[in-house]
This record gives sequence, C-alpha cells and structure tokens, in this order.
Amino acid sequence: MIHTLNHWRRRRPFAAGLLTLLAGLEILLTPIIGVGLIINTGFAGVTGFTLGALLTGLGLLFWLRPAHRAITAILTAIAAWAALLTTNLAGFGIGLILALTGTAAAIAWRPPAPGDANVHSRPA
Amino acid sequence: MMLMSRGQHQAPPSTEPDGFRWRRFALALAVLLMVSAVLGIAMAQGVLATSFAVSGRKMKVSAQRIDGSGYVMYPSLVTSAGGARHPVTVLGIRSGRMRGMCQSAVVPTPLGRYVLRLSSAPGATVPVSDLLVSASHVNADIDYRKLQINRDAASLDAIPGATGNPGQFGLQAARFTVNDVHVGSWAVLSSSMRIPGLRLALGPHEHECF
Repeated sequence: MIHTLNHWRRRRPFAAGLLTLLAGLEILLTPIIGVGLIINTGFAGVTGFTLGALLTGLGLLFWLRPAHRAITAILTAIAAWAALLTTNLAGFGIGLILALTGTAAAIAWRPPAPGDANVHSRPA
Repeated sequence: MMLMSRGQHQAPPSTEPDGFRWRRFALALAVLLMVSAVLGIAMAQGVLATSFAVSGRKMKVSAQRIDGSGYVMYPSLVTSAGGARHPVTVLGIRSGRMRGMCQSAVVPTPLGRYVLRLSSAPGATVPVSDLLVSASHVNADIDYRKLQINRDAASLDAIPGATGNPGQFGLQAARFTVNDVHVGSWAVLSSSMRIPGLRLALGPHEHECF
C-alpha cells in the first residue's frame, strides 16, 4: 500500500500539487472564517472565491496531468499574483507563499527516468 | 526518501537519477518572490490599486476634529460582495491629524445585533495620510482654504491616484479643518493611519459612533 502510494507520488509533482491545493483552500476559506471579525475591508468576496477555486483546481491538475506541469505552474503563479492584488494580499500572504512555493516545486520537479528502478514496481 | 538518496550519492543536481532539483527550486522561488515584492511595492504606492468589495452593510465614521492639507471630493461607485453597486462620494485627505476618531458597524450574529466599535483614545491625535472615505452622507462643519468647486473630477491632483471620472463634479482644497464630522460610509482606505490607544469594543449594548 505504502509502496503504491510512493510509486504514485514519484510520478507526479506531488509537493507542487499539494502546496497549490492548500493555497487555493486557504484563499477560499479566509473570507468565510474571517466574517464578523473584520468589518471595513469587506473582503473581495467574489474574486477570492474565483481565484481560490482556480488555485485548488490547478493543484489537482498538477497531480492529474503531470505532463502539463509547465503551463499549470505559469497559471498558478499568475493566479497567486492576481489574488495578491485583489483579495486581502492573497489570504494575508499565506496563500501567496504556498502557491508560489508550489510553482517553484513544479519547476524543480523532474519525472523519473524510464529506466529508473524506482519507477517500476518491484517487490518491497 | 528523496533527501536520503541525494545524501548517499552526493551527485551534482544534473546527474541525479530522478526527483527534485533543489537549486532550480530555490532559483525559481527567488524569482517568483521578487516579482511579488515588486507587485506589493507598486500596490502600496498607488492608493487606489487595492480594490476590494465592500461588505453588504454601511459603517459609521466620526471624528471630533480633522485638519490637514490636500482635500478632494468626487462621486464614485463601490461594489459590495454580492455585486450590488452603491453611489458614493469619495472624500480624500492627503495628510492630516484626527482627534476623537471613531468607526462603528452593526454586526448581525446568531446572538442578535452586536455593535463593533473602533475608537482612538480620548484626546489622542491620529495622524493619517492618503485617507479615502467612500461616504453615503456627511454632516460636518468645514473650513476650506484655496477651494475649487466643480473642478473636473479627473483633474484632481491633491492625492495621487484619487481622481474621479472625466466630466464629473470635483472639489479640491489646499487646506481644511473639519469639526464634528459624522459620515455614513461604505469603505475607508488609508495608506497609513497610526492609532495610539486603539479601543475595540464588541457587544450587544455598545453604542454606535453617532
């Protein structure tokens, strides 16, 4: 089981997807959690939801379409900067840092070589 | 796992059999953060660059006295989170000192109607710069110096970035003093506001500012 999970993880930019997913959820949830505590900022509600949902989707895309990670990474960075400008500094900076770290992790990730022993299942 | 194999082999990143190129990661992250910093600085300099949806309810802002330099007023629209648009008059102050500052909002809670109030300590002076208030109504005693009324709203230049649409009403004054100001407001923006002795009160029996 663990071996299968590791195997699955190795074949996609796992960290990039996870970080981007968390960034999306954080930006998505900040207005909901913050309601009532902060009054006069009012939150960019609509943009927050849109960009938060977009980042969540991009996080999943890193996992489901590893081959397209370059375009996903570019879109993630753009979504993060759009969130920085329009929604409470992208979830008070946490979402921004998560999404940009995810972008960098996708850029740094490389699929395992076809001949790599780690790629092909072998008895543990 | 990844880290362990890297440590054992001590191979240069380019010949790593698989996985994660740490130097590339650090470089990419540095570039991305630098771009973010540039965006952040650009945003901090333009007063109006940070647009936000206002909450669905108005707040009250009041002050005993405000004086300072650079005053503008022009009509505008704000959009609340639900998409509703509200006509407002934007009141802008380039730099000034406020005394007896108070902001309050009614917050509906599951426990009933609560009032949230932010106020400065009595007698304390609150310095503000690039303050913009999106007001629905204003009551105040105002003393303007070097006043221009019905100047084109797009040509107002007392506050960088605080201009209305071409052809609309605008008002600008070089200096001003305001006493006993009561404002019904949709939003307050400020590039800096230092509030000594800020008091935050939240409760069902708290008073609104006026």
